[in-house]
Amino acid sequence: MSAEDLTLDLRWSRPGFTLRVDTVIPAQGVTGVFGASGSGKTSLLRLIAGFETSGAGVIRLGGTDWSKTGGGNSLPPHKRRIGYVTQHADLFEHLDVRGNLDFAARRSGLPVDRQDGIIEALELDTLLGRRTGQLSGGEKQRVALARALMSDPKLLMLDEPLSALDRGRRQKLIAYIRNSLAGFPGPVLYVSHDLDEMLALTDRVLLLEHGSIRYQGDTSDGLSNYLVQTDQGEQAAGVLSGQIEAHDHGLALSRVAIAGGVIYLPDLLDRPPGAPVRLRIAARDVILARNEPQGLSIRNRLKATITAIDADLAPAFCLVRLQLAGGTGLTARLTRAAVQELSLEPGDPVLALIKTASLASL
Amino acid sequence: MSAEWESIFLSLRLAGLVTVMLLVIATPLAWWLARSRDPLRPVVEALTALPLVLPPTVLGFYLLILLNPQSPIGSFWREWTGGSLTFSFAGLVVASIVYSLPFAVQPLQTAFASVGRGQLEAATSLGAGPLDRFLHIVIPHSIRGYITAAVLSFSHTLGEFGIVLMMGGSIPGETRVVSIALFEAVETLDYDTAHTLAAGLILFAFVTLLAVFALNRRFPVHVR
Repeated sequence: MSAEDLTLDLRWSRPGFTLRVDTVIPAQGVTGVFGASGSGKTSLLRLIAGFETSGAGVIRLGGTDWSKTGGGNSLPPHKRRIGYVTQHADLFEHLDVRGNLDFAARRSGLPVDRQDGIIEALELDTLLGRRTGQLSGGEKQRVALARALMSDPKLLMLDEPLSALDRGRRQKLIAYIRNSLAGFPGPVLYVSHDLDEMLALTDRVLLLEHGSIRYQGDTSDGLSNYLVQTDQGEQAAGVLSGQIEAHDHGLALSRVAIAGGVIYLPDLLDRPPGAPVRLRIAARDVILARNEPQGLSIRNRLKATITAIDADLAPAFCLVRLQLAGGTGLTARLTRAAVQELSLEPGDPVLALIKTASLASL
Repeated sequence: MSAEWESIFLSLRLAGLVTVMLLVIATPLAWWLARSRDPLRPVVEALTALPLVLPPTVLGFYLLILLNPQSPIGSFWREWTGGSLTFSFAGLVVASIVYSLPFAVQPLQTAFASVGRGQLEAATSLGAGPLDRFLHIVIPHSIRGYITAAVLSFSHTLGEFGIVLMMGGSIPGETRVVSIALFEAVETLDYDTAHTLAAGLILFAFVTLLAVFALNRRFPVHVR
């Protein structure tokens, strides 16, 4: 445990809801807080920020206990040094972009060169003179993130920063957020109910259910388990993690090594070789073959073993659980007719074919 | 200086002083009314709004009872300053503050209530304490509310009549404000003076309102 870890031991009740969280958020890496709406994600962040009170427990960052300072009072929220970005961005409407950033920088005394670094990283140079009402949703979130970083926080919390944006803008903003979070020295909490965001941005995950921690640990493992437990029908999916090995700029594809194989992915050219990549693969995009097929356009072929064949919600389908050579789990959604025709049984070796177009890179 | 000018300057002095004092008094009151969940809030809200519905003579009557030199407040004032709170300029200031209070409080309360919780929490997380937030988020956000409160307080004080008659009488240079001077001019059939005062007030009111509406266009409403 490093000096600046965030230690939480919280109990907070509202009519019909109790939040009970006892964990340590490490200073290294990004911790996702994942769960359905109403699971307590936002309440947890608001308790840490000090915006919700009347909870009992411990909030300790490094050696400082925020919940009890001298005199038995908790540390006032404005002294906690938290960068807090919400889905509404909450920019100050009476100030322009520069004014919003200065509001934070003046109070933190952040050196000018570090201010410039933040503005450059989030590409805000051309927006500085704009009024906040003239910004698009994605620009607002970039300003909000920059403003939070300008306050030189010890802890960063992002609460669904992408949820007000459409799909295309999300992908762009994810890259900005990933870069900004990569160098952040303290704990980072990233709240979302979107699996793809979690996989793209977080290293660890806290899975909240009805105010309690269901799982905490590595994001891939945690979300794979979550998917296995919740998946049915169209929801069924698996998660693969890998590392970029090389780019083929001519074909605009990247070679990604995963445990037990290699796959080719589009849309990764802007990331360096060695960078980690995670994928969510929907079960309906996985095809099984008994033998190496000929004359087929699908390029991503992975050796796997069938571990189980489960029933699906739809009577015509079933979920074939696979284990890849490297031990990773994957699910294929096939018709029962296909399973009978190939006479697939647990223990059989198969080839899992994954269509490249279905692999949205995260 | 002619008697008309004397009463005009007296009115402007009274309205100006009352407006400044009201903005100072109404700011914390309006903030409390806009934010508090205290069960006493509706009571205070109703008390603040009373001058809107009561005839000025009712207020004037009770203020006369409350502030006369034999009353505790009046005698304290007399010991402290040597003056009286009835039939004096100081008394008019106190009476006008009570009378115009809702005109300052209500626009401010509306403006304060419209400051988004998100903006205040953002300022908090960026290191701004309560006073800092009030000065740098709430007040800039509420400029239109302040303009409205100032204009309404000023013009309402300028136009009051009944309460002045009850509390102040008509002492030249002390309590003989424009509305009283106008009333006396009409009573004595001095229509020239009455016209000057009445037309002057109309012109003044129009120019003030015009200036305010022009100014307001420069401050966009922040809708959340």
